[in-house]
Amino acid sequence: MADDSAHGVQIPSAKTSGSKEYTDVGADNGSDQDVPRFTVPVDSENKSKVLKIWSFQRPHHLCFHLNWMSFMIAFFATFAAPPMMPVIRDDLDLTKQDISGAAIASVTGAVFSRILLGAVCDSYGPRYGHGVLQLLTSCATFGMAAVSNSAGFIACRMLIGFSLATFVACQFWCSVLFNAKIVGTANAVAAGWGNMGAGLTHLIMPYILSGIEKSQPNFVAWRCAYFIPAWMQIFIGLAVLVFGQDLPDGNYSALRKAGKKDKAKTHMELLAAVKNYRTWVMVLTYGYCFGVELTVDNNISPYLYDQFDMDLHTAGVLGAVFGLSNLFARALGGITSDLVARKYGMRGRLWNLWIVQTLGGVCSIAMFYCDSSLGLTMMVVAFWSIFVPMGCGASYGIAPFITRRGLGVASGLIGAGGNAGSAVTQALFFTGTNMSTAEGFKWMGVMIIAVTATLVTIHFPMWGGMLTRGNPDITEEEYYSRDYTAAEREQGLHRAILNWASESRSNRGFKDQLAKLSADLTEKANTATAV
Amino acid sequence: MLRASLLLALLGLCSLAAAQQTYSSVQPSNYTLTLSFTLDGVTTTPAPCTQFDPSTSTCLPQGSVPDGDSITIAYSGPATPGNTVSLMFCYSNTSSVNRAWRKYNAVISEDKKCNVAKPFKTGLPTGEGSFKWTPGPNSAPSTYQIQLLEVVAGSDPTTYAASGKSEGYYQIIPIDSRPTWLMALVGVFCTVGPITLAGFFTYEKIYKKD
Repeated sequence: MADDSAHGVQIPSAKTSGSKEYTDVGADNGSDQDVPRFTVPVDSENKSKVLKIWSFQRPHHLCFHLNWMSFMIAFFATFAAPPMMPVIRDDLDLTKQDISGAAIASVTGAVFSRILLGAVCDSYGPRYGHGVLQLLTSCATFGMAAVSNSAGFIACRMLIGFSLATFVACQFWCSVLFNAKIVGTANAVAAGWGNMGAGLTHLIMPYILSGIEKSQPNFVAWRCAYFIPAWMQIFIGLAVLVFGQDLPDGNYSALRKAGKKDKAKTHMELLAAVKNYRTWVMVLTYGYCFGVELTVDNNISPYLYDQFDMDLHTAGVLGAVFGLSNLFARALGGITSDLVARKYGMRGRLWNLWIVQTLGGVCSIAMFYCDSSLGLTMMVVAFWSIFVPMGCGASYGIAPFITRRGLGVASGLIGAGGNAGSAVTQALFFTGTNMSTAEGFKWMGVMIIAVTATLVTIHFPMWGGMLTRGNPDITEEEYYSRDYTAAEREQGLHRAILNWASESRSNRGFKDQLAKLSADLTEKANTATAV
Repeated sequence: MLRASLLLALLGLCSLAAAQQTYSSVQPSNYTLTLSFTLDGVTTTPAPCTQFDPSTSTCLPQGSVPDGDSITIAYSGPATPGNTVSLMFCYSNTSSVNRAWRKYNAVISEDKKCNVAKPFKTGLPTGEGSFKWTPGPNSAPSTYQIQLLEVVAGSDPTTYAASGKSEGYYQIIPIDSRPTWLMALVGVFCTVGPITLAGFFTYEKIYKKD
């Protein structure tokens, strides 16, 4: 039956495990023409239950790789300017204020595009989310080669920065491809490898520039160098559209044509996300997680250069440590989130996030007290570069469970919160002349700890919160069905999320699940005895 | 063993002192510099332009890099056999304000305002001499003056014995970093993304109808 949710389709769920090809067999329809076949174990929503990073099999893992590569290329293009800044600032005669303004613009633009892209993903699918963003922002990336002053430079960086909204499509796509037990890990690996694009661009763009400089003056070479990330955006945008697949069962358009999916009601998805207070708590905390990461990426190299009198190259290499740690650190956050959830459920996920994010705040404060020693500073940076991305990974181990109907919008809002947090933090602590950068790190750390404390307000009725227990009698189906009106529930439109609700029951944690099972068995036994 | 240790310690101290050599050690300036400009093929030696607003000044000589304009630096000072003279450009205060990468440092080797790390000419003889410099294609559009530093022969790290600075400033007109061929390429390439997107949408729409 058709539904109006953006998530999942109605296919009878029965699978044969243990065989090499896992087939979702339709026991009732007697035909397997419409039944997708997968080479990985899948759950009732045909989501992969494993993450094989070495696999490129369709659809789950091919889409996974297209997903993170698209996000990485967006980061590569957005942060292509900083490693070439010594040349760009001379050509365009930029001041420090111009460069800072461009840095803020590059993250601010994505605030709005991330919110918008959540709705796009819910309605049209993550494939179009990636493809549209990459192909349209490639114009701005090419256009950077034509700028002649600071205004053009700032405008182009803002427009290219819109491509950072591919983060929302990235997280959404992982959430619909991978099972609840592994979605945290998948989200974290994809986002972490994507964020690594900022570190890679610092390493690669100087080589591209020096190669072109052999035949062109510097001031022309940096413009030509921008063609590389622009063409990368075009190729990945096309690749995602051609080879990608929105859902394990097919693309949105094909599923709608087959009558298995209705066009989503965008305003209902928006409402589902916006009216849920948990979305806004996560927006706030992510602003002091990913927002901190962006702020530090913009400030760490100039800080090392000024504080310890380094040359720009050395400061750049040491500063790149922060971005390159995303290779493993963000995934580590997702992995720990999934690991603690096995035993402690959602309460464990929340505590995990609180711990790593608070430790990130402590490291930020420590930067102030280590400002006279390069060795101590780099030691703090090493730990800092692990805790901050871990917090980002742990955040998206929680985000997929806030709302199912408004998953895209919620992901978009939370992602936008990261960029907004960076813009606010940059403006508050790193723009004025009355506060040194080291002092800015200290007060940013205080703010991180204070904002992270708001996590205690998150409470799921069936799972509980950091300091509260859940009510085991409330089912996940009841919670997620609340996003549908009574009329919609009567029509059965909420059935699309029932499979997801069932899969998310693992967030009760082992002990709670065991207690519930025991209670159910006891009740059955008592009933049988009474009979 | 003791002598070797003492010698090494002394060398270490000397290198430390040299690395920390400040401008005050070469003041007052022993060299005078005079700049003459060849602009559009015409050579002139204008009066030094010291007070200026880069956007409105009429006294600033403007050297155009695309036209191949050049600056002839004539210097005069005490001759010291063995030593050599290095020439470098210095950003004016106007061109270095709000630009930390051009900040002044009293330690000569760390000074970025005067580009000490990359002089445009080295090995010139001390005493009297001249050098004709043609600014290269990577010259930034700023206002500059010229600085001279006399390098002590065989010093490692580099030690300076004397200095001089031009009284007046000049302005560089840079190359056109947006040549026609580049703009044409940008214009063409900018259309690739939207056309690809439109083409794909059209293809999917037709495919869906079929």
